Amino acid sequence: MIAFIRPPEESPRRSPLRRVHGLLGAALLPPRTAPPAGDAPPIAGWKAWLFAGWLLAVAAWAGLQAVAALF
Amino acid sequence: MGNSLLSIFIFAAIVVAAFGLGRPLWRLLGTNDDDRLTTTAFSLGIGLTAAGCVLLALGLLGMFRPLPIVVLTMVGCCWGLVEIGNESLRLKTRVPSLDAVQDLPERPWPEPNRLLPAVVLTAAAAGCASSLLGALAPPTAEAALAGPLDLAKRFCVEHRIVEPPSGMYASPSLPVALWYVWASTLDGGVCAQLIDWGLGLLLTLATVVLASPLLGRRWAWIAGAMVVLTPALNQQMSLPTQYVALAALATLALAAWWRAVAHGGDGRWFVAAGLTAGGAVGVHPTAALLALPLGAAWVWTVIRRKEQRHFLLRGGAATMLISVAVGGALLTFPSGNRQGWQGQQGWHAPERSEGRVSTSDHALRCAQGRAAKNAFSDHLGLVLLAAAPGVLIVRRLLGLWEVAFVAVAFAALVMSIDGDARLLFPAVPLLSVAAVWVWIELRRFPAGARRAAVAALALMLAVGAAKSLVRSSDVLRVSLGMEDRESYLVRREPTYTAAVAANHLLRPDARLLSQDRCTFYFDCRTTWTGADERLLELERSSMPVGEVSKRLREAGYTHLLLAEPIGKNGRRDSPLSRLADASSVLTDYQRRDADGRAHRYRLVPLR
Repeated sequence: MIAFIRPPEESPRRSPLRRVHGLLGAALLPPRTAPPAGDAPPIAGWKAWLFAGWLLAVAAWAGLQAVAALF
Repeated sequence: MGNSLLSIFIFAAIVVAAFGLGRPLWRLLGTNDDDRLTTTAFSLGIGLTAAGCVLLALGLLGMFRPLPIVVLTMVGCCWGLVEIGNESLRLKTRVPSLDAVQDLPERPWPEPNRLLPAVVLTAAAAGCASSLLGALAPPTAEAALAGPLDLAKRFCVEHRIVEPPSGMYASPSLPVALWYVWASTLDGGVCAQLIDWGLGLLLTLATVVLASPLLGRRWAWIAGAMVVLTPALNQQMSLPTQYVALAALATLALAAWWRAVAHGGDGRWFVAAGLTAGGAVGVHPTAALLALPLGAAWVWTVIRRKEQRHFLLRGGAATMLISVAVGGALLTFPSGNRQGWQGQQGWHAPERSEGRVSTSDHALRCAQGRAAKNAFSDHLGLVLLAAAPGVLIVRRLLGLWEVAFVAVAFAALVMSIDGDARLLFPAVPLLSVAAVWVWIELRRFPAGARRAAVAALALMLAVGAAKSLVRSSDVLRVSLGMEDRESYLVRREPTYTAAVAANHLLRPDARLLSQDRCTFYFDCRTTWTGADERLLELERSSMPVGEVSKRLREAGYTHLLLAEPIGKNGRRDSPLSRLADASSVLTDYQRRDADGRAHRYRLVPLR
């Protein structure tokens, strides 16, 4: 006789620990497969904006220095 | 304008002669590279090193005279023209070799769009044009007049290689001084500056050669352009010093090393790396510091690639032996340069040699020290320094971590040992490769962040180009021939008026003792008082005037050039001042130097 066992229900939300694990893994580990030619995955938005902000800050500093040197 | 065009023509002849010398040597090396750019860059680098060796032989034979140098230049120039003709015919008819095809694999990133190279290369062209204008003005900066250019003038006056006074030069560079002998004999100080400008272009080509296997040719050109836009490097391209030559030869050595080790190229690239690394060490021993990070990267490669272990071990040993032989010979020969090497062991010029005038006060020395060791960002390039941290968030490019490791380790070693930021120039091409890879990866940014980053990088490049253009506005009139060189020098170089008087009045065998170290424009033999401890003691003593004069005449001096500070830091009552007061003066005038300090110059005979 075959026993009908009810399969366990999947949790509707991922645990915070799993989410942190996923974030850390994405940030620190290289992708498991090499991206196909010309189809690289986008860089995470916060990283991109952090770097762009750094570049903007340095550019603003350089611009102000140049203006200060003129006057 | 005629003078400038003549200087450019003679500079072109020197370049063609160096190519004529280097191209057969490069062919003899037989690296089987059909790439025109690589061939040109290495032929010029090896040709300049070989020309230095020929000039060394001439100098040892006492033949630093116009005739042999002109004849050899004409022969080299004719041969260079034949080589250029052969090269263009060969390139028109050849079928690309297998090696050349293998050098250009398809890359998983797109080529830059048409606009980007156009904008960056235009900015680089503007930077090169401004440094060319600077190079076409007669040299007046202290760094120019008291460095290898003065050593070259000393060789020309003596018609041979002579031992320089021990405290005269902070870091005498024999190969650079020999190239300046070549330029000075054919034209003058302007042509020597043009050689430095040409070395800046060679550095650009070397960067493109280094970056091509990593990034692809079109992106490599952007890396090369960003090197020229580095403010301090751009400025040094118009000054006859050794720093650009150091960077150019070191980058060629790195490019050859990369081809041999990382790219698995022909083993003869190791020989090319050894020759160019030896030349770089001869120019300045700082280049030897590159051996430490490169050695570490080499050991790592040897451990990883078991199948190529013997090839890598033999190649590494060959590179080391050749570079030690070439660099060691240039550093220790002749004996005069050995003192320079000993001086460089401490990596600092003697304190007394930091002032233009030997009696200068502490504040002046500090100001000049600050000028020499300018802002870190100027020397490594703000764009490159700002973009480099981006390698932490982009994908790993094969070989990029080795490049970044060599750049960071070299910069750390130089700054921990010396602190002179100009010695960091060999790290600039490496940083440029990393920065361009970050630029390539910007396409993976969200659209808004990408636009912001590109705008910031463009602004920084524009500021760099604008700075170099503003700097050249000072010399625009004399470079374009709207002001003659004589009146420019009278206006800008404090010693020039005394030099004109001395060149008219003094006999060729006169020997001048000068308180100002910039004596490049004097035709006679000169000695700077700051170069000799005994002369400094004489200045500080309270000896009678007659005794001072007698001692100086016994030492062989016939004339004295006094350069006394006036104004707030007024003159001191030294025996040399009293001697000048008691003598008939050949010329007496006041001038302000580049720092705005006024000095009174007096040229007096010693009787």
